[in-house]
Amino acid sequence: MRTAADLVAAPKPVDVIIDDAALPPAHGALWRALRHRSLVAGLFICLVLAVLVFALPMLMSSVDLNAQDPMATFAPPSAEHLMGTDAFGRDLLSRVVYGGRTTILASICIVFLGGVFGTTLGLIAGYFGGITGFVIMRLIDLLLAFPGILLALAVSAVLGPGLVNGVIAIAIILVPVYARLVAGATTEVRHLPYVDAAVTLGSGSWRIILRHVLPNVSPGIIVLTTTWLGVAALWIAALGFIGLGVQPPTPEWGVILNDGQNYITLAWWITVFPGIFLAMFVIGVNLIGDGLRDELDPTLVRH
Amino acid sequence: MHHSLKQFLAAGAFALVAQQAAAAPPDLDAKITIGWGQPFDTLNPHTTGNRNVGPIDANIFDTLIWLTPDFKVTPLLAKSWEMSPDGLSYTFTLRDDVTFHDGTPFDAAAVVANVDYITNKDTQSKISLNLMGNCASAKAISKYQVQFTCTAPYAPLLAQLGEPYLGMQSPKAIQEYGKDLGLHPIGTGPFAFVSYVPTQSLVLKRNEAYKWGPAATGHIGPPDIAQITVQIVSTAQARVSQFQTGQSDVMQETPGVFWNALRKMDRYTAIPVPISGMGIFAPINAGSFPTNDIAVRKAIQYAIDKVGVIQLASAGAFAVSNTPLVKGMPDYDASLENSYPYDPAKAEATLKAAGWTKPGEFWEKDGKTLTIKISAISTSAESPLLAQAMQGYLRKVGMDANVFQMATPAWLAANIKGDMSLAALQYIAVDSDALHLWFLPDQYFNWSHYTNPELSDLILQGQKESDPAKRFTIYAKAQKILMDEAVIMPIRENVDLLMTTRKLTGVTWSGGGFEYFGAASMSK
Repeated sequence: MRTAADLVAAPKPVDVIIDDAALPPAHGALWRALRHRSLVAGLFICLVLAVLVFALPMLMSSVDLNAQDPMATFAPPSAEHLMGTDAFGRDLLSRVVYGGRTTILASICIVFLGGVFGTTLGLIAGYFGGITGFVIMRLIDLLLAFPGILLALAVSAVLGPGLVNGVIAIAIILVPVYARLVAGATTEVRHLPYVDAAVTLGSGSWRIILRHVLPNVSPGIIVLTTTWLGVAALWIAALGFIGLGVQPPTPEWGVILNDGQNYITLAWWITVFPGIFLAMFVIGVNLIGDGLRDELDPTLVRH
Repeated sequence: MHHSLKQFLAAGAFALVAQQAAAAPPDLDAKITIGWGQPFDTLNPHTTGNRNVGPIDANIFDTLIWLTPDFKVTPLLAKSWEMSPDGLSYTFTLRDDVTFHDGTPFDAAAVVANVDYITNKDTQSKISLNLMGNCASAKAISKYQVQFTCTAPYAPLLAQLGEPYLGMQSPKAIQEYGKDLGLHPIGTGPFAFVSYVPTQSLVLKRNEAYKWGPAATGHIGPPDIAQITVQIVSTAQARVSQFQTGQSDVMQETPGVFWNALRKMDRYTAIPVPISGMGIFAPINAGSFPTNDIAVRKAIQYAIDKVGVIQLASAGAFAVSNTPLVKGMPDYDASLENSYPYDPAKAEATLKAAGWTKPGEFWEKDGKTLTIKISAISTSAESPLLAQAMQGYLRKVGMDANVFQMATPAWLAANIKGDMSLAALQYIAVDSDALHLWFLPDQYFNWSHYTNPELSDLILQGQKESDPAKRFTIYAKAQKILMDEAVIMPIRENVDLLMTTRKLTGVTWSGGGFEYFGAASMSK
């Protein structure tokens, strides 16, 4: 005999129904999203950056980005060195391009780590509530009590300098940010009829969290991620800037900026080019974040 | 309107005349601003550990003797002195017309109070206590005569008494301020303390009563400069901009690349102030792998092109140093200049001969990679640059060189513990005895983690010997051992690149390279 639980447990027919129903509106949403100007601009900027940072290095595999040349220090931009050279006579273009890989990958790792841990904690706290939720949320409050960058500095001072430690340090700051948002949204969703229905049908807690709660709180997570991607890039650059992040000779945008600051009136290119790239990346992901917020938030008026 | 225009024209004409006149009268109301490179750990001369506090204190505190830039011992607070025949005591006859900025008279009791303060364990004196060597006790034998007694003859004492770290502080201030003495510097020097905001600025004013200044500077009486504001501007670019826009009259620690550009301009005077001692050098850790292998230490020296390193780290603004004691020191030995010429092929040959192999990118021995750890102070402008430049050269010959940038306390700890292979740093000294801190066993700065009974013996002999010719022989031998064992890599001469406006003249320094403004004047 089929029980109610079996009906829910057999996913196939349910999935089909949902997919069929969702297809036309999803198509419309994509179309609408593509008409959203800031979203498109953000996507375009990020695409250009991705091509420059991830595809361009393949064309210049012969360049040794750490090769020092005492005879070619502070060369201004020229045909040979499109962005000039730095204090060590290294080609700035290749360092900015490779540095972008470090910065961008590091910021993706940061939001991923912070996002996964923060979301998990938030879901648990929001769904179960009670004493569990209370303990988790007070711990989160504890983390939130520290100004973000200060916490990152303290953590990376304890762990020691280095890219991986820097990523961990900044990811820790992100945990409470995600946890707060997700816990709030989960508490709201927790008592909506469709969750109650799933409970009545006898679904396990984790199944409900993953299949019914998470998808409904995800728009907020997506928007938060795009916003924080830019902030993470700035912070990893900030750590690099004060010597706690990436160690030489590995290029990274913040480190290059820091190297250049002592020569800015003499060799502007060392600061300006990585600065432009960093600004582009932050603006790009923020525009995407803005666009997604408009598109995914059902309470905002459609345009 | 008309009137002010006339005034303006008149002032312009006057300025022209003043510029043309060869010896314009000094501006006795001149207030100058100095852009300073680093914050001070304290202004207390007896507890500081910074070279950068020395020049400031040299203007607030007088020392018993004045050491000229070429290391001649001349009178300052002491009129004359005498060493006992056994070399175990020194008697100083002091001036009787000196008063501290707070009105306390200067006499033999004041000197004794200072020595007692330095030797007191609670003071935790670093440099000052070291400079007194074997002679860390003093007693007053009359109102203006003071006697230092030594446990063993100590030849460097007289010269070292001229370092600002042995400047005389007001005994009343020592009593009154206790732990806060570093915020209330009161001496007998050409400038008196006005105010200090740590990490920001320090204001000094002319000591109107100053008539006991060092005759060797050629300036008599109170300074011409009325007020000095020392602004701490750690960011090199900001310091340069401050100077170029005329917001400062003097810039200290000019970055090499700007030094090259600004020194060509008529508006400015470039004053390279030589800082004596051991220059900028790197002790190489002989206590742990892989630099415990002498072949590796030698290979490092052959592999690094010092000219290139200086070009990369400071735009070639400094001269190379190839000897433990730099050029200009009394015991500088020119015969060591060619110990390790730049020769990467020889570096690789040295490693090969010692049984190292290079199957891939890096050298290996017994399955262990030749990994060099270079430490650098992350907050310093030049330290990370030097480290990176050296890293580049070591990588070129197949050494897996890594740079570790750390805050100063961590940097000190790592090097003392012996976790690092090498670190580029400076050490300031006016006597060859500086070597004892770096190469006697159990010394704080034995970062080479190297001991050698013969070397220790030579260093101890040098401390006792006062005949210059015999001292030279002793220190030549000691330096030869250091270079043969490759436990120290000299890098470059140590110079404070000082840039001043052309209107400021008479800036000088005491032996060791401590800038002195007591004889300086600003033209109108």
